Amino acid sequence: MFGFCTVLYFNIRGRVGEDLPTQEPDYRLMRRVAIGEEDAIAELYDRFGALVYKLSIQFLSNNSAAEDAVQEVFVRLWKTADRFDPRKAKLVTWVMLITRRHLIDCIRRKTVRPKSHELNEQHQLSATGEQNTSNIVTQERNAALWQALQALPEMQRTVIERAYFQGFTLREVSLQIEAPLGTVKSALSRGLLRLREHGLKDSSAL
Amino acid sequence: MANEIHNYKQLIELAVLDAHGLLDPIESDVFTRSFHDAPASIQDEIIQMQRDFALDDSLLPSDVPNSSLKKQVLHAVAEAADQEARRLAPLALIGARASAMRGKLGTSKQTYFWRTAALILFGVAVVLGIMAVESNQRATRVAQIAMNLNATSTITNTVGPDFNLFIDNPYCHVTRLEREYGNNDGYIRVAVNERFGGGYVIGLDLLDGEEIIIQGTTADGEVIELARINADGSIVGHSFDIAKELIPGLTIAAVDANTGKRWI
Repeated sequence: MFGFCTVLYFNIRGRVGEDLPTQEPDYRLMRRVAIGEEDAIAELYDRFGALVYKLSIQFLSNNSAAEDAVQEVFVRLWKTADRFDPRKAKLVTWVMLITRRHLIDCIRRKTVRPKSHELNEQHQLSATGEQNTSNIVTQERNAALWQALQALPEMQRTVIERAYFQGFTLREVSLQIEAPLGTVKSALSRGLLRLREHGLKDSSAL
Repeated sequence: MANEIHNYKQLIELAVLDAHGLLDPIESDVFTRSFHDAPASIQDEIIQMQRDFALDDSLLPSDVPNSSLKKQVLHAVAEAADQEARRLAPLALIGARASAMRGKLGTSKQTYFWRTAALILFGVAVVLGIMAVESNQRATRVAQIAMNLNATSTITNTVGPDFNLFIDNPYCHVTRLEREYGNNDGYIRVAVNERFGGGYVIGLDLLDGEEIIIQGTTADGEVIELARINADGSIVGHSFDIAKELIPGLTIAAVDANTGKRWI
């Protein structure tokens, strides 16, 4: 009976009503990061640095800007480390959320925002051999993303390009395409889910 | 039942947007609140889904970072920590002065008696507060807003049109403040427009009757009062004036006007 009541209680209340799992390894790591322990920050970098860098390269399309962004992201992670709550999200989710927010901020702060067809242009440049090998690899990967985007319905593709890669706010996108904000959010959410399904399908085909 | 399914679908949609950093800070807060109120099974589903999104690198470039980047990252964090320590020094002094004053006041048996009485009364008040129906209604109200895909519009209707000038504004820097000690109830967000000056403060789910002072420490170390908010509803907010020249290097904190407890 007690067990049943406990299950029922947590199903009604949700896990965030429980005490903080202070012995959880990721929680302890972030507490160490919060007080600026260098070993902890190094461990955080070892686990997530490559993922943060890849996302930065995809958003900013240049090594130097991506490296700057990675440093800024880890400073942000240090500043917000004491807010990490393992009951609400896994550590990788937290790290990538901070990263994505930072990269979107970077794009929003640029005077000239990237155009929606830039991913395609990068793909064409790589085909002409005008870039070095590393860039060609990067552009080929972005070409895969661009192809995945092309497979989406027009509405979903448009809102993802504008909100996610060009940094327009959802409200701006809503005004640009003259659609209600709720419609933009739904299309964006569905599009991102389909993009992920597309990526998983491609990965499993390799 | 149909309504529950509808809410569940909307919550999942918001979770996808949240995982991609596409919700503005206020909407992210109300999503968090809604997540908090969801059953454990749905929380688990959202946590797993957001984790899968975060780990998915199938459409990311295959580039690997330069080996020197780790050292650069460690250096950048150490430098930021030094800067932060210098900026927060004036606030630390305020705390030290207060402690020194408390030390001079001393204590007596009468003081202990009144402190004990106050603690007991405080305990009773907390229990009553937790049981208060009004508190539940407030939480429900915020959760309802979270479920609404047009959360920003709903908040705007509550706090007024000035909110629109700061939310979703790429020139605005938003500071997130939480209670330094105690539970996690309530959020305060302070947006300052780095290009044109001016700011906006919004409080969500604050305790009834709370009066919060928003303070800024300028790059020169001067502490200034930016705004005050009085919690007379589930969502309170208003704009405030600040010259754009004062914004670079500005550190924002808040303090409870009645108890002196800090938000950082």
